[in-house]
Amino acid sequence: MRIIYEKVKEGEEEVIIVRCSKITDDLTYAARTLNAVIGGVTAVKDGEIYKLPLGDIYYFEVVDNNSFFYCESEVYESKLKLYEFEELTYGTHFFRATKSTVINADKILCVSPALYGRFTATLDNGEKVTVSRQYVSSLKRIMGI
Amino acid sequence: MNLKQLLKTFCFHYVLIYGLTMMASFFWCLASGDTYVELEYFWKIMIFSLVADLPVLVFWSKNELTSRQTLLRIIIHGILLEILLPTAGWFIGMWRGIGGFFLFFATVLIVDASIFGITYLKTSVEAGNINTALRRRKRENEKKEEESDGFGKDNRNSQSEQDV
Repeated sequence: MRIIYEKVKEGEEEVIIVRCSKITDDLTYAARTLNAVIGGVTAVKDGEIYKLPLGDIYYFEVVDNNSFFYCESEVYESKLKLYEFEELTYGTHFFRATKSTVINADKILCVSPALYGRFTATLDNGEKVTVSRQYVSSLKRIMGI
Repeated sequence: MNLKQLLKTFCFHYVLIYGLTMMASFFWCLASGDTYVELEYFWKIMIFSLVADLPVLVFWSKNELTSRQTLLRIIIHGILLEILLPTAGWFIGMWRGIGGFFLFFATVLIVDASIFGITYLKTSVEAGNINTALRRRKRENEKKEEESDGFGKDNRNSQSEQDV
């Protein structure tokens, strides 16, 4: 299978064209993921609906069954469950960091050791989040270690 | 720590504690001049290892532990070890008298602190490796952004192709 990129002019709409003989579940999943990565995910803040590009999200967290997107300085609500967001971002730079968080590895500035084999990840905006011992392997895989 | 991870840790620790205790017993026998160990000693050490391993269950939690909760559980774990192990040790006959108690107490403390220290050291080394990879990755990403928009350096190509 080949992937062809065609350059469009600045401001022109970006389009994904899939040339195939049959629309399979895998293709639908890939297109959905690509759409989420480029187009963004639906988020709510102060009753208004936004489309957040995945690249703007620092981490995703579930607190008391409510889901949130944490960006540089803003926090948005989401209807997605943790596993749904994990599935959506599979193969990207997002990784499961604890039982309730998924972090964007691209936004990690540095990590430092914490108690009991855990790590504290400092994000580009200065925020500190925990990475559990059992999920460190995912971060290492993304980093190519 | 979730139950699956905890059970994995529990089994790994059990084998480790049993092996280390038997090794320590072997060297103790060599040093004291004993030539043989009773068969039931093996069973006693198996039970002793189980007692030494049980306090790890304090780390079980449905929710993610905060740093404060983790620290509290580390302290509780240490206290439980210092209560359970000397008791089990006395029944097995590992120590007798006040001097023996303090020696045993100190040994448990040193071993526990060493494991804590080694774990922290290992985590520090891992963190160092991750940080090196993070810096390399950031540099590469910045370089890519500076160089082009992905369609070649001179921007003449309007089409780019990739095999997957």
